[in-house]
Amino acid sequence: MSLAKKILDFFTRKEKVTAGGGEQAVQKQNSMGKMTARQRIEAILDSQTFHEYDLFVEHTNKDFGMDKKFLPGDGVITGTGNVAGHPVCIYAQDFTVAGGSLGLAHARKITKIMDHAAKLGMPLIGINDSGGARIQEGVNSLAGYGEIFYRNTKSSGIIPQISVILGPCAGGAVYSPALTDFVFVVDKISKMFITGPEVIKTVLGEEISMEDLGGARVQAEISGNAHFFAESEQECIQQIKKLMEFIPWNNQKKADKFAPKPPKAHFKIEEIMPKDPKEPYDVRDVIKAFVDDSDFLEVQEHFAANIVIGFARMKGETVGIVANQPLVLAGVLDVDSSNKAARFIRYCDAFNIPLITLVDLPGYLPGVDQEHAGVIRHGAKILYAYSEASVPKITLTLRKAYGGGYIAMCSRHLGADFYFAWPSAEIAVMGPEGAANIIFKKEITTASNPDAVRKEKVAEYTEKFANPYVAAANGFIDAVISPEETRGYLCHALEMSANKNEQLPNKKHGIPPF
Amino acid sequence: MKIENLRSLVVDDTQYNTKLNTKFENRKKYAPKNEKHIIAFIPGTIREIYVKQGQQVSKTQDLLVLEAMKMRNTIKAPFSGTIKKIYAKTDGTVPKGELLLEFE
Repeated sequence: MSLAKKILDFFTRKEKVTAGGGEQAVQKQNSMGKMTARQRIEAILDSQTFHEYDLFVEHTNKDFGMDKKFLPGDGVITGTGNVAGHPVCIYAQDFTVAGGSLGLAHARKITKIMDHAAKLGMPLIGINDSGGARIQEGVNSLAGYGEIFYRNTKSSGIIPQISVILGPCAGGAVYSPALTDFVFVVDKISKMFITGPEVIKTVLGEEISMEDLGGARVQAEISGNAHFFAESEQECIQQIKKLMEFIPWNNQKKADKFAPKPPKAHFKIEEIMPKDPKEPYDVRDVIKAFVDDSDFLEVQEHFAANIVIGFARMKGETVGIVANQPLVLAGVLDVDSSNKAARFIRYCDAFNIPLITLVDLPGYLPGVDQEHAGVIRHGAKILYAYSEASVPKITLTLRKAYGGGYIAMCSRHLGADFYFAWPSAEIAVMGPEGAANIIFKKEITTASNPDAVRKEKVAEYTEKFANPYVAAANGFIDAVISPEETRGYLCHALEMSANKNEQLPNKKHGIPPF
Repeated sequence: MKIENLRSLVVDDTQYNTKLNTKFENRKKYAPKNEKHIIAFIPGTIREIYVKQGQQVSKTQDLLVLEAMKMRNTIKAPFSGTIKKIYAKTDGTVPKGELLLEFE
């Protein structure tokens, strides 16, 4: 064969494989509002940067007539490319080929690109759209999953790992996304569950739709498995690109520095908080009032909304923000919000992202359901994560910081590098009402007019203790600052702690209350 | 700015105005365990009912079979007593926590 013929033969072969499951299957995929695997990769990556590998990989299964079946690329596309000019490894399961089912060759393509990402220190983006294990391959497909999970875990905290769920992701397959840093879902397209509605019905007699069991909304709001929720695949891809600009490309690097921008003028920091300390406000308005360009990328917006987490920039540099949200459940800490914040803190710590914590909470959520759900051990995660984190930790108390909540929210006692408080801060063992009822119990109950005495005692306690000055007198606060000074103090503190280098004693790893 | 749909939440005797989330609103109210109630410890299907209303049973006597996860679980009497009422039906599916049978 002449070289020209060989090249022609190569193009014929390539065309056959890149066609995926064929025109009909592609049309069906597109008609469901879904892009094909190849379209998705091209939409995420910078134009013309995708380089594909393992195009000609084929499965070797001989059982159940599989030896006669040709599965282009074995149902997954892998390669490298750029996002915002930075290299990434990427794979996308191709639902048009055998439902994107995972066999050993399919899995080996994924693990190969994962090894590549780990070795070369670049982020991994995995696009999941698969019916699950390729049953014909039996235990070989299980082996494939296991080898993916192992690499997800080994790469955790070294390279960013992003999972995009653009179709079904069921059974064992869900554990790869669960082990990665960020999970993206799209309404009506993403479906995740361990056991599907049919199994649940036959085994347990409970009827539920796929959407109600593990649809995108459920994962984003109820289970907390997903970090970003989008209405369409296009919106999802924009979210991925935005996130990628905020995070560093591996744990040895810092995130890209952008040109500093002041916050937008219409966020007036001194006007956000209501006068009455029992009235709510949206803490995200406070965040937008001091971060660059008022640009805040919220993570897990819909799950445990009583705590707000996300990325922003201060003078062009990425920071991670954790803030109690008085708008929802008065900003209390509970099982879900502790889990949400603790994981985010550990993410930021692993990837050299300084932490800014905003405090306004009445404490932990009381309730039998919380105690029985293990709020002790889940709540402990937030203490563990803050204490363990060695990145710069800067805390600002806006209003209430009561009891265990005060300690947990990156207090000086858990190693905050800088701790500031607004004059509206109330750093105390508990709120004035609760404290007065305990301390002056005798005076109140024996008084001829208990309500009047209680009111008086509450006022007395408020006057004495519901302020930042008792904590300031003990040196637990570095500075009481006015709201207008917030950005200046936070930027300065970040600058001062830029070279923080906390040396930890050598250990394999701690034992956090998982 | 006026915030709508506010509800009250009490923490340490202080009443806060705030929004509630669906999980909080749907939480199950705690009820102390009633020793006389036999409840389904797992969702499943009732396969056998061995006793009748008004019947005297002795401790550890078989009451019914609850099949779940392909396992037949025989539920035995926790103490000797009289069956007040049977709520379970043969081949009926029951969710977790469903009242199956009540002692007098």
